[in-house]
Amino acid sequence: MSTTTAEMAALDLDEMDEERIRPQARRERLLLALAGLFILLNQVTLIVARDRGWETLWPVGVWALCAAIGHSVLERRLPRRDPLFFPLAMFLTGWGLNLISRLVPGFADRQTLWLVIGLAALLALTILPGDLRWLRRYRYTWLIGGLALLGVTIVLGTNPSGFGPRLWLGFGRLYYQPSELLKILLVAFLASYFADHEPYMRLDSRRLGRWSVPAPAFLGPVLLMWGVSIVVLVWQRDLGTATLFFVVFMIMLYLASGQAALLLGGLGLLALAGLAAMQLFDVVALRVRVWLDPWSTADSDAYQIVQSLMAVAAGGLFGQGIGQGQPTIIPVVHSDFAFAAIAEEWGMLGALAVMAALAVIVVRGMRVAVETRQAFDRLLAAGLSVTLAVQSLLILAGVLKLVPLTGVTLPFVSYGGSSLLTMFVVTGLLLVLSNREKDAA
Amino acid sequence: MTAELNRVTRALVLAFGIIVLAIGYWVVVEGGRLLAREDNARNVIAEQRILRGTIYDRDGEPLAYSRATALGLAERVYPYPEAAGATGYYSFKYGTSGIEEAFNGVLRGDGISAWDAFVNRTLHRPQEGGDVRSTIDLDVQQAIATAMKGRAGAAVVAHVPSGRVLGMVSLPGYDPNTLDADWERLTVDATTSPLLNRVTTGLYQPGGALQTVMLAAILGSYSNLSEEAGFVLNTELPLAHVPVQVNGLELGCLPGTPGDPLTLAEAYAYGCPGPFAAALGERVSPERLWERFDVLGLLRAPELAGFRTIAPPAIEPLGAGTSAQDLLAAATGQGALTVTPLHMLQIVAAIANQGNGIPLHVVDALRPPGADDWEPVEIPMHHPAILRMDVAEVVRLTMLQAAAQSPHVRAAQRGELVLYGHTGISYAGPDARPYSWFLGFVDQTLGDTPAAIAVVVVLEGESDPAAAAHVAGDALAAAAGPPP
Repeated sequence: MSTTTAEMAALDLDEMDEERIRPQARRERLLLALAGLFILLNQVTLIVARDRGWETLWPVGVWALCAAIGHSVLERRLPRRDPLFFPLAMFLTGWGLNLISRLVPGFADRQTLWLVIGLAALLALTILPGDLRWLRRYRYTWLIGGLALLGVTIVLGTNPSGFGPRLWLGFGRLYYQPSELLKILLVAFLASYFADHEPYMRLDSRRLGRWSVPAPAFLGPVLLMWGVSIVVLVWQRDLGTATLFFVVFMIMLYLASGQAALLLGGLGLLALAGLAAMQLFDVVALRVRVWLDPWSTADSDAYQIVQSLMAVAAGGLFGQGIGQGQPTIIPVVHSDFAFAAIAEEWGMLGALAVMAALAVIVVRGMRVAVETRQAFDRLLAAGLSVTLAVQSLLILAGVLKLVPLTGVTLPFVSYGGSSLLTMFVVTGLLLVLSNREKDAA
Repeated sequence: MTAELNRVTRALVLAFGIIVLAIGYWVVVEGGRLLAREDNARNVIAEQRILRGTIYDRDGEPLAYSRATALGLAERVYPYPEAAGATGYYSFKYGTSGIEEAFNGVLRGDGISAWDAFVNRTLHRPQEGGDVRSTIDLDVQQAIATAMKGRAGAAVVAHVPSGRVLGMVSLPGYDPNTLDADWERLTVDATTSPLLNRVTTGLYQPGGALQTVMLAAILGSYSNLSEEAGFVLNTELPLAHVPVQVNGLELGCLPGTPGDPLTLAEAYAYGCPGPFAAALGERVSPERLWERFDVLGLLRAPELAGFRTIAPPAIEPLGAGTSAQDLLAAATGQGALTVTPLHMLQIVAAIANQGNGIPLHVVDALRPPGADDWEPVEIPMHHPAILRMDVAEVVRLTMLQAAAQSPHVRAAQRGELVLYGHTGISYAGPDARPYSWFLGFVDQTLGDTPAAIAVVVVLEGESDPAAAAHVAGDALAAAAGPPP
């Protein structure tokens, strides 16, 4: 049998690709194995330290199964993906499972179930068309659908704790927070809209003193949709997510328009909004007061943040060891203060490891944005990365008293199915985009 | 857009860098201050995890020990709540008392080396305390508690001359196992004060119990007792029966006193205050009596190694300017002077110990955490003479005679024990509440080595002079053990 020159060339290319892809796959496998070892060791130590039964190892078993299936499917569907996204997401999720098993053992089964659901969503994204046209083309439909879901929450919303803001929709024993879905939909909407209008936004700008800003005609629809999202979130008193939306919106607007003045104006608006929120919402005024001076109310209003700082201090450099600290002194530690618990039991080194993992995902996501050619892909990758980064920074800075607490979760680590599912979808989209970027290259 | 993407990336990395600096700040710069804060619950939990050492009785029976609960916190257990008068209590909430307080540092394990402390911290081992071996004899403790039948008062028993306290009971007491739950009830009633250790800090009117001090002072006024003691003690005193009026109280001889003329020794045996009141001014000057009070330690806090004791409230010294009424009150023990049972025990012990004081102590050995061998507690060897030897000897013989003559003192007699004793009644408070006292000892001398078991008992609201003696008898019998 003879082969043509073109077939030979194609064969050579495939072999070159294979050579390029194999080390990436090996790296992903190695990272997953290392992550698995770390999570297993933590769980075993927890069992020994807290005198738990060996059956509590099962979340690690599920994690390992998820890692193997995820790696295998990604190998087939996205062979040119970035090899760090999936292992880092699984590493943080597994660490989160360790933490939840330690802090609230009764919630470990639910979080494990959400890991399975999150992975299923991630893998489902790899089956959908890789050009993400389904997301770009129907941007208004997706966003309005997300807002409608949020609207339903206002009427039918509940809170799994039985008290507090009713931000969840209940499905049997599972609860989902639609504002989490809205994060992705809003980023996709903005990426799609800005991608369509980016060249015009940069060319057709207006002078505002020494600053230039895009023409109002381009900003009108996007401001309207974004404004509706913010209003709904403020209505629900989900002020942390509202802040996140605002910051992500301003950064994406800056990326699309190239106008730094918009960022500065946005910061001013954020400060004004904060002052207004202090007047309108007691909870905001309280959080600002506690942020400015936690020590005078350390036993009442500021108890949570002061105990959080003590937990960080108690961890020292190397931590107390899993199950050996006292992080449960902090109210709602498994959700809002997961980072403080990590700092106490894994020390400053553990805290840095978590931050490094998050930062690497963000930087790699931004790299995908830089290296890809399509404006929508660039903005989507950047928007998703910025969302992940800003959410991480908001909660990390809040826990460390750099900014007032906002009540958002630590991505992948904190207890919360909605957040985990959202972060797996973000990871899935970044994987698809990284695969496309290599395809395009 | 690439330039903007790169700028945003750099800004985000910078933000993560600021977070890293913030962690470093709270761990390295502010860590020490944060961890030392009083509201750091971690310190509280660490304290609650401390496995305090065990307090043993003299025979190795645990009187208090700690065990870990399912939550990893330590629980203090007192198998014999009746020993609380000696062990005291440990409560995370309310502190410590008794041996728990006196040897708190040892029981907590505060003295361990820096290396051991580091290893414990690193391995998250709870701090373990050292053990304490008390001189308390559980049998004596239980015998006293049983004999007191729940009546308010105090009893203390000690070995002479070693100074080992064999038993100390204070009633009403408390169950240290349920102290936290009972605290409100225990502290609400100031009149019964169950938490007050009446042996070491309970101040009582001495009343008739002070006759032993007066007798010693009278005898001390004679320079040659070997020749004069017989005359002093056995000369008939025609007015010995006559009651004494003090501050509206009529103080007379105890019930059952014979009607015949009494000698000083008989007056002592039957608790007649007249001869002692008359001696003040005749044989004993007010200044001399005051000096005796001082030498016998009645004006300061008694010493009980490590224990918190109490000094009587400061009073005006007796002297030429003291009114006749106040002198009378002082001579009969119904004046401003108040004493603890421990004060009186020192005096009784000195009488049994040829006039020398004894080093009272409740703990004689300590065992560091993890060690097998006990280390003796250093006990002061200097025993100051607080009575002349001949005075002590004559008082001793007088107490022996009292035990033979007085039916009230004889209530303390058990078996063949050689009993020396004295009973007295005192009155205190606006309603002249009676207090029954017994002071005495049984001889345990073997060969040339003087030894005795000394006891002091006071019962509140008790007008029967034999009541305290009954308790003392049971305590002495338990302490002396079966006859050899």
